[in-house]
Amino acid sequence: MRRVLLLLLFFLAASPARAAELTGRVRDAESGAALGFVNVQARGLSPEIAELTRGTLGAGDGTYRLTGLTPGRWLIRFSRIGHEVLEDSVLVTEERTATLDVALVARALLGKGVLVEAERYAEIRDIQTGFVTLDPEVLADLPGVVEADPVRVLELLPGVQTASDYSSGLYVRGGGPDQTLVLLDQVPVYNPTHAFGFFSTFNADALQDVNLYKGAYPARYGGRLGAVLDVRTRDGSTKEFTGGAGISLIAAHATGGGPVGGGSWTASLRRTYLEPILSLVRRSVEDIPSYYFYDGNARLTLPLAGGRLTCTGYGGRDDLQLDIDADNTLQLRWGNTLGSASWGRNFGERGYVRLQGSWSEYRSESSILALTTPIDFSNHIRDAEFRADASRVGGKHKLSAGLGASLYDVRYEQTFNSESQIDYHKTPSELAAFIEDEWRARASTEIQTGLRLGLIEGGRVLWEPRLAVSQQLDPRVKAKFGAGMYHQYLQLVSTEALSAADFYVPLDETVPPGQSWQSVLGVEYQPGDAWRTSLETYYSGLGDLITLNNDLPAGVQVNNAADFFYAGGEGWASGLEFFVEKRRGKVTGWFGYGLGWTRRTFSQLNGGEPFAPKYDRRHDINLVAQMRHGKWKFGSNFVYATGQAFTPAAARYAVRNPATGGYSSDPQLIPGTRNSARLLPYNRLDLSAGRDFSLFGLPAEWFVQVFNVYSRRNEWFVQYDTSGDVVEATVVPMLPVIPSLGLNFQF
Amino acid sequence: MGKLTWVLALQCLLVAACANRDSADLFAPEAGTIVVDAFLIVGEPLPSIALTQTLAADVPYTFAQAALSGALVVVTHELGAAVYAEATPPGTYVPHDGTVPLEVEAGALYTLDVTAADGRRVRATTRTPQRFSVPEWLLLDATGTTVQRSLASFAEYGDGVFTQPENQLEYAQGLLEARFDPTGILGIQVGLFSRSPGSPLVIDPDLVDEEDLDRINSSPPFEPGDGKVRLPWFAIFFEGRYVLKVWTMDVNWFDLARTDPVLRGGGFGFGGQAGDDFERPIFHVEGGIGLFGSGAVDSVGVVVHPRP
Repeated sequence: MRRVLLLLLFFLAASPARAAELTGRVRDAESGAALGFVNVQARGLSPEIAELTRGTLGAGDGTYRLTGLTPGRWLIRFSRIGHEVLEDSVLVTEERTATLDVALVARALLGKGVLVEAERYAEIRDIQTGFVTLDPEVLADLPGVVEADPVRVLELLPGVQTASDYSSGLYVRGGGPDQTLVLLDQVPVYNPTHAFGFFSTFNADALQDVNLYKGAYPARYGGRLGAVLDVRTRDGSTKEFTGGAGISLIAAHATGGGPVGGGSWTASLRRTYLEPILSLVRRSVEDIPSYYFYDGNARLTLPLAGGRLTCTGYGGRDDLQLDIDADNTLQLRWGNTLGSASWGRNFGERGYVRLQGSWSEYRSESSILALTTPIDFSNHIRDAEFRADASRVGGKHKLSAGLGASLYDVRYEQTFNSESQIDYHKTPSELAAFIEDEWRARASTEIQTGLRLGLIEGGRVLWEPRLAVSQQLDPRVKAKFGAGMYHQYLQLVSTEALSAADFYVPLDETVPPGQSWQSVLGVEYQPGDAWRTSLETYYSGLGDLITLNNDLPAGVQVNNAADFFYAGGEGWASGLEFFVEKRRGKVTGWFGYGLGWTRRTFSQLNGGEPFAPKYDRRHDINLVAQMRHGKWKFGSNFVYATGQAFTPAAARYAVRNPATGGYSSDPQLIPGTRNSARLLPYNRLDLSAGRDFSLFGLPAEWFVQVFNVYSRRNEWFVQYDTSGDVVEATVVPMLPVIPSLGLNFQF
Repeated sequence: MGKLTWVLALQCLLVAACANRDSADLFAPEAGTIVVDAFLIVGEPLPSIALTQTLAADVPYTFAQAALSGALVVVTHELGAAVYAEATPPGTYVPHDGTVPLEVEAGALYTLDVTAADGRRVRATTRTPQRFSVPEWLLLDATGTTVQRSLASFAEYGDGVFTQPENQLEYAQGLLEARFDPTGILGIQVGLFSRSPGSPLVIDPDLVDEEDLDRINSSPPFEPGDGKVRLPWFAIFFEGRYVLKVWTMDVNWFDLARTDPVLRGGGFGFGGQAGDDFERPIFHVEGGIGLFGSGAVDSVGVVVHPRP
């Protein structure tokens, strides 16, 4: 371990003479927990620096660093969603690094009836393009389907969509769910869904923040062609035991946390409670399925060897059982288990090292008995990873580097009639290293360069350069550019209607890993403290894409990746996103508009001609509003999107089935050009209302939500019925209006 | 002004709630492609050939309306050619004249040439598989690990197999398995034929509507693997006599059967949500679509009895 540390720090040697800078740590005033991703803005107070401004976004552990400060007195402004803004002044000199540690007060302490003026949404002041960080407390106030879901709320951002009301899989800037890396405390989550994709596995009670890189993500991440969703759990209070609980129409949840051994702990549980009710109904009504899900998060933070040890864990499971009779049954079980242990420590004022070991496991098992014939599917992925990261600040540079090793165990099995059809088992490994430099080239210019190297099975080396540049054009205007190359070695085969059936396939020597080249150009304009606008345009080129070969016959021998997929696909995605946000005042919210195109080309599909994937949706409009009035709070979402693409039916023909010698009962159907037609545009309005009150002396709130207020039956897919003389097309709709209510309280 | 705002907002919501769908937008009609329908069975006479044209998806389909009449149809073989003549119903063509041996030969190349009355031409070829036989028809235990007994074959007893005691099966007891030499076999498909018209259901009648069940079924195509194919009980719905046919297929039949949603037994692919599965099947027909394929077959007869 010592050699690893020395190796990482070797190239982070002393750099040129330092300029004035400010560092510090931000904590929550009540709990003492570190607050990550705090927006830090500096404005010159001394006459000689009155026109100067600087800004940065704090790190996930609560630390921040402002460099390139001209010596003098500065006004430092700390803001973070869900917390009161704090301002303080500090004198910065060349002789030493100034330090300013602060504590922010949470925005609304329930029951006190105090309206707190606070930042509602995160500012994107980092160098990164397309980066969004959201506070789960704010997300919980937005109306959703029965329960607030941190991931589904992301669809309210431009460039981010879900496939349907039934799916929480994200489609980001023309890429599918398989192209988004989902992390929980830096550990991959391989199937982050509950209830067949209806909800994500993320319990808002347990989360500190939800961070989304919509594209051109930095070198510290890798392994996916499109986006990164980085979700972090929160620390417990270091001062006293706190907790909360609540209930909605679907599930009950509870959270607790408090100090321990100089650190803190926190735990959250969530479980559906309908199953006992359904079991009562089942006594009189047959064929009622049994279904439940549960999940739990835990986090422990302790001081250790001058640094901090953090252990996290997550476990979740879904279970569906349907017993029609002794000859016909259905059972589906799936779930994730994650765990990590990390240790991080500052070395002096400039260095930081972090070591982490983790494992992630996803297992899905499906058993069907159809008229006594057993049919079984199972898929299983395990991932053990060790990584070491280090960073060092020197002058105008912050250098970061990391090394990681991953071992995978991937297995997919399918049996039919007690006979094995597919038994695919691979245990690949992967090494990755990155180096990254954040350079403040000038007072108004930041440049982040990075390089990521991956070594995968077969000795293949993947080179991935990254670049991000931000240029302050004006005190209120910043331009940004981001670009990079990305590869994907672990491929997800996803089924929209049944996320439990999703499985992973590592690409071996028979199929090269997918690759993408991304570029993003954007400009941000903040006319005042209350408003912020941004405009971004992006382009992604895609190569070596794969898609599942749906024409595999039964009993086919599957020994490698080429047996599963059509490979060699190409594609591109391009678009424009406009975002305007109101962050202060009685009414807050945002408006987002996305305009996008995406295309795919496979020689094996559509006659080799380019086609639009179903998630190619031209326009995407989101309008979100929230209002607080005394003890009341109100929320609304309006969503509009171009309908998904689908393949229309074109012609009918009849050919006998040689195995029976006769015609099938219905003539066959020939499809038209792939995805050449469109479903009707999707639109929906959700409303919510809630009120704070006191429940046996405890601060509490009740809430009412209405999903799809005007009950528009948005279109999901087209079903063709060929049983009659004329083909009948039926559009299967998505969810109607769904009201829900719930109660939360704290203790 | 406040009331007007509310009224306008309500009207906008009502308009937004309406999903006006013109069903014609769900189709992309095209028609007039020549469809070939013919498959050769090794050891049997040259078959009839059906020629039709595709009809648009949004109009009623009948064979009479789709039939292609007046075409010149010729099947050639290395030993000669057979000219077909149109029979009834229209669109049906039968061997009329020629020098091609009337029994389809194994491992031989056959070529179909069609010239429609309007001059359009269609061509397809098939290389017939080798003769095929299943040496072992077995009944295994429920786990498939132990052979309980061998079944009698048509070669031994002809139609007398239905009275052989070893061919009397109790529904869902044990596993039926055919074992054969997979050498040179591209694909396998199984046909199941109930030969007891009007026989009662052997499954729970509450589960399904009897009118929805076919007395003739087939499996999806699959690769021969190690030369064993198991016959699932969920394809058998009725008591009485069953003939189980195991087919070997040429590449034309195999490719169409595994890519056509109906022939592979998967029902119909959804146009939207599962639209990734709504792909054009593979037709090895130049100038048209359909099937000009070939296969070889062996079969066994059993009698299915209900569970006591």
